Formats: sequence, C-alpha cells, structure tokens
Amino acid sequence: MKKLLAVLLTVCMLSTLWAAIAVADEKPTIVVNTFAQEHEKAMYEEVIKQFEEENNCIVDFRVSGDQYWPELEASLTAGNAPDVFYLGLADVRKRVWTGAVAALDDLLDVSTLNTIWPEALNLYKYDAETNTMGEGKIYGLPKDFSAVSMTVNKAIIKKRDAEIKQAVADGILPFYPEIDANGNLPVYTFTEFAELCKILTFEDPTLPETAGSKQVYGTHLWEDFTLPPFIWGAGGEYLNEDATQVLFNSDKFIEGYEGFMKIVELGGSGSSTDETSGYLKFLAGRCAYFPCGTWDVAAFQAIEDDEAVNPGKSWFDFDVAPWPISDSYKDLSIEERQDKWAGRVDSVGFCVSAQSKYPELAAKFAYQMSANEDVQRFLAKKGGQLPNIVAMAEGEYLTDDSYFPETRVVFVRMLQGQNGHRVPTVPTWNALWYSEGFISGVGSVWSYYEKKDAGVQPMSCREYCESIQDNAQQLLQDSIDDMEAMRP
Amino acid sequence: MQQAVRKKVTAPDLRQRGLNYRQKDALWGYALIAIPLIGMLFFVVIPFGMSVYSSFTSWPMGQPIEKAKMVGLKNYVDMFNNKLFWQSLGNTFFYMIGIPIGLAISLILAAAMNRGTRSEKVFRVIYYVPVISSVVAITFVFQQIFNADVGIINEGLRSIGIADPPNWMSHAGYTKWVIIILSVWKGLGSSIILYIAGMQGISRSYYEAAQVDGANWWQTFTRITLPLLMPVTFYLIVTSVIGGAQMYVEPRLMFTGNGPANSTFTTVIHLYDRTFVNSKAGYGSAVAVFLAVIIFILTLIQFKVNGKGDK
Repeated sequence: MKKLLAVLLTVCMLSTLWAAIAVADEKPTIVVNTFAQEHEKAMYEEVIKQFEEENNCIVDFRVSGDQYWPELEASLTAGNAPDVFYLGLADVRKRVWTGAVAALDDLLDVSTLNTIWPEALNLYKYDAETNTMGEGKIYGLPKDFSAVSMTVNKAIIKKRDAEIKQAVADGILPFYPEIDANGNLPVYTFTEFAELCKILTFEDPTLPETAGSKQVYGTHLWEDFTLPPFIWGAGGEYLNEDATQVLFNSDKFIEGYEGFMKIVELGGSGSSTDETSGYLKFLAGRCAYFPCGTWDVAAFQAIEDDEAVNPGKSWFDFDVAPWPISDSYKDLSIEERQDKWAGRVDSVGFCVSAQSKYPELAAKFAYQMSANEDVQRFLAKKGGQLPNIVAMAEGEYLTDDSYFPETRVVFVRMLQGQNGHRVPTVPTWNALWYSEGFISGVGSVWSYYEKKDAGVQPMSCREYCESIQDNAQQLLQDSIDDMEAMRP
Repeated sequence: MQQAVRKKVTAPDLRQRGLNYRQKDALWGYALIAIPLIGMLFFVVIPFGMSVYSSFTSWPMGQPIEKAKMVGLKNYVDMFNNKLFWQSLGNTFFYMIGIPIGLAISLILAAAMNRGTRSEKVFRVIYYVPVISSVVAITFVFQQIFNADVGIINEGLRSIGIADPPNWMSHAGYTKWVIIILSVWKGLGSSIILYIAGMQGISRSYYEAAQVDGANWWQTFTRITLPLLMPVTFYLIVTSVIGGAQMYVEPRLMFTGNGPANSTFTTVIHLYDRTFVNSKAGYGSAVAVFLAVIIFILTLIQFKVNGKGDK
C-alpha cells in the first residue's frame, strides 16, 4: 500500500512539474478570426508563419465562412471575442460604445501609419466625445482598401471585334472599348453601354464544352452590388450628406436606376437577377462585363493563365474597366468623361479586442498585416488586394509588370478618390432602409422591364422608387433612433 | 434474490450517510434526471426566457442584454405591421406543402422496399445518401440542375419541344417549388427508414388474417398498414412541421438575397437578418417567440387530431 502511495505521489509531483514547465515555456497565443476565400487564406497563412517566427508567438488563425459576422456578434455578446477580428465600417461606433475594441493609439506608434491611404485610415477613426467619424482615435487598421470596378473579358471583345468597329463607325459607340493612346479609360454612357452589351450578346460556337452553353451575354447586373455605380454615374446618391434622408425618389437616383435597367432591357444581361449564375457565366467565358472586386483578381488571373483549359487565352482574358455614366454626358469627349464615373470603395479593418490578454502583440499583428511593406507587396503580387501603402500603389504597383491585371490603374484611380465612392449603408446604424426599404421589392422593376410575369406587380423605376420612399425613410429614421438610444 | 444482492452492496453506504433504502433510491433517481433537467434549464428554459424578455427590449446585438432598454410591445407591433414579415410567414407555410408530398412518396417507396427482395438494401442506402450529404453541396447541385440555360431540367424540356422552358431560379412562381423539391428529396431517406421500421413492426398475423378473408393488396395496405403506421406518420408530421417552420439553410444558399420578389424569404431568414445583420436582437426575439407560439399551437392541434384518431 505504501509503495502504491509513493508511486502515485511521484506521478503527481512529476505531472505538476511538467505542467509548470509547459506553462513557463508557453508562447503567447493570439486568436485571429477573419473571413477569406481559399486563395486569400493560403496567402495569409504564409504571412502569419513569418509573424510567428519573428515574434516567438502562436497565431491561432481562424477563417470563418458566410457566418463570420453573426459568429462574431455572438462571441462579442458572450464576452469571448478573438484578440484580432475584422471591424466593419458601419460598426466602428457601435464597437467603441460597447467597449469591444481597443484604441490603437495606446498600443502602437501611430505616426508610422502615415504611409497608408489616409482615406482608408480615416474610416477607422472615431471621436467619441463629439461623435465624429474620421477624427479622434484609431480603432482599426485597414486590412485592405478595396475597389469594385467592371471586369471585361477581352476574349469576347476580340470575337466581336468587327461588329464593335462597325458600331463605332456608325456612331452608335463613340470609341472602341479599350484604353486609348492617351491613357483615357473607355467610359460609356448608359445607352452606349447597353448597345455594346447588345453586340456582345451572341452565340459563340467556339466556346469549350465545359462552358455548358454557347450563349454569351454582354453583362450581368443585380441591384444589391451593381446598381450604386449607376446611381453615382448619374450624379445621384442614396442618402443626403448627413445620412438623415433617403433619396430614392430624387430624379438623379431614378435616372441612374433607369440606366441600369436599360442595359437589362436593351441587351446583354441574362434574365437571372442573382449573383451566382452571373459569376459562373463570367468564369465560363459567357459574360463580357461583370463586377470585379480587388479580391477577385487572383481567381480570374488563375483561369486566364491556365493554358490547359484556356489555351492562348482563347475564351478568358480579363481586365478591369470603368462603370458607365449618365446619358446626359453623351456629348462629352473621352477626356471629359474620366472623372464622371464612380465605383464603390470599401474596407474592412483589423481591430484589437479590448479583452485581449496580449493587446500589444495583437496590435503589432494588425500593423504587420496592414502597413508592413513586405507583406503588402506579397499580398498585392498574389492578387489578394491593392497595396495599402500609397507610394507602393501609385508607384511600383502601376509600373511593375509582375502585378496584374493590366488596367489596374482603374483600381488606383478609385482609391485616389477621383472615381471612388463609399458604400451607401456605411454611415447608417443599420441597413434596413436599404435592404428592406429598397432591395426587397426590386423584382417588380424586373417584371416591368423584362416584360415577364415574375409573380409581382410590374412597376417602372420611377413608380417603384416613389412607392418605397416613405417606408424607406421611416426605416432610416428608426435606425437613427436606435443609434441615439444606444449612444452612451 | 435481487433485493438480497442490493442490500449487500448498499448496506455500508446507508450506514455512513444515514439514508434508508428508499431515500437512497430516490436520490439516485433525482441525480439521474437532474442531468437532462439541468441541460434543459440552461439550453432551453433560460434561453427561451431571455428571448421572451429581450423581445420587449431594444436589445442591439453585440451589447450585454442587461443594458437593453425596455420598449414594451413595440417589437411585436413593428413585426405585425411589417409586410415583409407576413410575406416570410406565408412563404414558410407554403413550403410545408412539401410535407404531405414527401410523406406520400416515402410511404410508397417504403412499401416497395419492404417486400423482401435482394436489392432493397441498396435502394435504402441510395435514398439515405441525401440525408447525410452536405446541404451546401446539394444546393449547389440543385442550382446547376435548375439553371435556366444549362440545367438538365430545361435541357430535357427543350429536347421534348418546349422552346421556352421556365426560368426556375428567377421566377417567383417557380423558386418556391425548387426549394420544395429539394427539401422533399433530401428528407425522403429518413422518412423511408422510419416507415420501413414501422412496417416491419406490424405483426404478420394481421396480413394472414386479411389474406384468409380475401383482402387484396390495396385493401391490406389501406386497412392494415396505413392505420398501424399512424404513430410513425404522426411523428413525421410533427417533426416536419417544426423543421419546416425553421426553414433557413436551403433558400439562403440557393438564392441571392431573398430570391426573386422575396419568394424564398422565410421567417427564420427575416429573424436572422434583423438580429445579426441589422443588430435588432429585440425584434428578432419577438419573431422567434411568435414562431415558437405558432409551432406550439400547430403541434397541439396535431396532438388533438391524432388523439381523436386514436379514439
């Protein structure tokens, strides 16, 4: 019995000692929770490995899928937030008010952040005293400063070269859809773009069997993601300047919406309003123009470069292009049109949890991902994002041919502010005025323009915009009231 | 004999604790039922209580619930005044059309697979595969199947001379049926297994007696099999209605946003969007409570109807 007790005691002591040694030797661990596509995840893992080696720490890198935001909300509500997580632009105030995020000014030398896009950094500044965004302390560092332009499949343009040239000769199109000798982007009006899409809608017998169909479309549009550039291209807005009034029934908004639907009506767009089928068509070489986020280019480039499936870029050769503009600009020269188009610029930031056990390390991680030159070069060269560092984006990113796509100047112009526009829901407390107030009823407009019974009452753009105005305004007011109720 | 053995084992404990046999027995009983009861308390009763409480508040998601402000019945009033909520509820009930369709198909297939042939097990496995398959993969496959341009359904319709087949994924009149077909197909396997188990539990003597009385296959099926499978059918209806009322994953994955003309917008999607996307957890809780009440009433009605049937 005594022997047994002695053995047990020894085992206990050894295990305690081992545990103590293990604790002493334990590296600091930070949990980083993000969302990413597969190719982005692979890029980040490489960068994180380097960070772990340099800082003798462990980064528990977790990638969530579609459920990222609800999972994050749940973990924040439960007081179990990751050390580093994404901060959405519309959430900055809320996270500060609930004490969920730490001010990075207290954890980093923020003077070193002057190399990154000031517009992007300002998105994460908030002065709680005056309730002013864009000023005060920094609560996040941009993971990226993204832009959404049009993508064009030049292989399709090439196949319709004769028809397009004829349209230019006939005066239907003012110029060929490519950057001219002076570097001007081919900015079309709504009607011109609709005509171009009509030309690009045809049956292509040369497409491989894997395309599924020989039918090619000019473009594929859906309101939630691709309508805003049309509204801005017409000089309209979704909200007034201080985000207290919805402008759906304004003439410029309606003009932009009508321009959008004209493209649906005149030619090009498939009859499906959903994103997925358009994306699949584009990847199969069956859609000439499609929206392109900066995060998409790596996947598009992979198809373009795959000689086995796309020999000689025969059916997929992508580049980026500007969005169309109002018909009222039809008499402007190509030079005069350059500043008239706009696409969405957006950002998501790395922030540090106020509950983090290692806030300095977490902040250092955020800095490394956001502002480190080598990391930015690595990510940009992989096509994951545009460089956050201004000098790099305006310099080597444009001049070094190892970056892609060819017309990446389109993205840079958007970040520089000439052609970039913030997402309309960013300044509001919630997006119900937009999602329920506007998007939920757009099927009526499709029914009207496609002249197809989609099971809802057909309405013109004007009729629809006027019919939803009051409800959308009420939802916006509710959102403002909710914000005021929560404000500390 | 059993008592003697039990006495022998438990005697020292009884002396130490001063508990008699009955008390000891009761203690063990309480201890054992305490485990699921505590689980139920923490995972059902308390969350439901919090949902009811938060439905009377303006609780913004991401903030501790104790900081939420009371707003009385505002969330319920907003919900009842919201046309989208009623549309989502209508869609949710529409999807339940798939329940009787699924049960009828399951019953027929189960009867066909309960005839003692060799290939039955193979078919049972085949029909069960969708149940254990990833819903993400299934929805992707269905997107392809119902694709207007290249889907095999429309290819088939074109091959038989229908030049302009339906746009399944873009027309509000068809999208709900796509979801119903998917749900029925995915749920067949588990219903078939339960029906087969039920059929195999029916005593052979009933069938033999019917045979002696000269009953044909149809009479045997409708007078013996079907009535004796009522408990299984009842169970399947109750669980399907509860599951149907919580429809979320399939329409969300199959369609962008709420589908054309909000045709795939269900009550749980409404709840989710309001709670997690727009941070209105108080309103979301009101929807959840209302849905729970509806499910409770529907289940109660089913129990009543089933009770009358038993009598």
